[in-house]
Amino acid sequence: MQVVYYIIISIFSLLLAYCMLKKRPMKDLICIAIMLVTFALRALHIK
Amino acid sequence: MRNEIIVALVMLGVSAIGSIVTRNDRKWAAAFLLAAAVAGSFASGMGIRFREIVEGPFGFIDSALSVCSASILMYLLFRTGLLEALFSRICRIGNRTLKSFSVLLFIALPAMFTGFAGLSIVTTGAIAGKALRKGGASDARTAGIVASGSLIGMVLPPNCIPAMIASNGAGSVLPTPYVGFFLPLIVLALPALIASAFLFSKTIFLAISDGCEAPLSKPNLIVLAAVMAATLVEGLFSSYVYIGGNALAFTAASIIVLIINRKIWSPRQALDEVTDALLQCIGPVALMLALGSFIEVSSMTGVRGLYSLWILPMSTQSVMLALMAASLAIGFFLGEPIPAVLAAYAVFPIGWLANDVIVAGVASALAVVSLLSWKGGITESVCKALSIQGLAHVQVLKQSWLTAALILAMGIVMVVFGNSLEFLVL
Repeated sequence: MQVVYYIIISIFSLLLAYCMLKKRPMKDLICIAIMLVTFALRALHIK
Repeated sequence: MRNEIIVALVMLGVSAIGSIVTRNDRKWAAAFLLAAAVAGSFASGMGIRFREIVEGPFGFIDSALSVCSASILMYLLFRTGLLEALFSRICRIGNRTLKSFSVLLFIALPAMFTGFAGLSIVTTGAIAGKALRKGGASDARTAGIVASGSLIGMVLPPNCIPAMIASNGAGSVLPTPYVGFFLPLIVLALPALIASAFLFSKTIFLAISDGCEAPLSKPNLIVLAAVMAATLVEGLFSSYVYIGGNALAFTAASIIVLIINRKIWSPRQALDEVTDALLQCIGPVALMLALGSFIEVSSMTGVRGLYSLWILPMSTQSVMLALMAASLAIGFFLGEPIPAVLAAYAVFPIGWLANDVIVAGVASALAVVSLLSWKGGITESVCKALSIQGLAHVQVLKQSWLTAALILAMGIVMVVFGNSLEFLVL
């Protein structure tokens, strides 16, 4: 399960960087950031 | 006035203002729900409580992971052309009723896996909608069929975001909230599927005919079939067999699809496809996670406690039905955020009394809101995906009201008779 979290986190990080470079709407960036922060913190909680 | 009431008003107010200002834009809804959580934390005098604001979404995280991985898989399969090929086979079906069932299930397929209607609308809905319009179906009828199919797909298992949201209420006392919903969700959607198939059978049979040929990739089809089998085993026999969960099955299948189609996509293009897939689901998933913050802050500030105190003397079913009715009324004007809060609150303080059948019933109101919402809902997405202009929301509702009404009716039945239907929870 942890592997899935890290795959998703990696993709979201790339997605956020990509969308920032492409100057996507702010609402998209906020949504991605909400998901990225939550997934990353959850992954850190998995023992 | 009690502090908890002021905090609740501030939180709901911020969310409502967000819906009004952004005209129910789903992607902004997540930002405003998060802002409402922060505002609630401030209003109670606690400042920004980072721990609660981030910890709240953890209740949704496993479900969100399943939605994200399913979105990647379904979008990749769409981009390989598998769904178009499947549709071309459906076009050949000679039996009118069977064809209608197949087309509706085809439209529903991506929404079934991902739990939200959006992916169905832009993939299978666009394919079927184009064929329907080409075959002479009216714009309103086409939009109605696509909207109904997507709504049914959203309710069908394995993933259903409204049920995930409602189950978070029960999740406060259960470690794994979104488990055991497979049969309750099928029961919730089945009457609507059958009725819609009969209602639309004539239009679908006359409009969709042969002539939309596309080659079928067998390896991709086998992956789809294997994933469907895995979700079926996970949904029906999870008490006996453990296959690692749906998220793992979807992720493994996505990796296999990328390997099978390595000649179509370069690594850069494959990454583009995966990120495009995630862009499809960021709205609904971010909304779920922001809702988690909202709910956690409402627990921290005592809003939930006061609410529990008020409703505990009342009958469980009456509270749920009242909140479902409020969801529909508020959802029509303000979209999904506040109905989502109400759906979680319907099961909240009485979570330990509510089995999955009752939770699925409560979720029906939230699912219907996405169709009913006058702005930013399924209607708007369907018109945008099919490039239909000038179609009034009411015209689409006239075509798809039966689907929504039957899902809601089944939801009410499941709330009222949920305790007798507990055998559906496997």
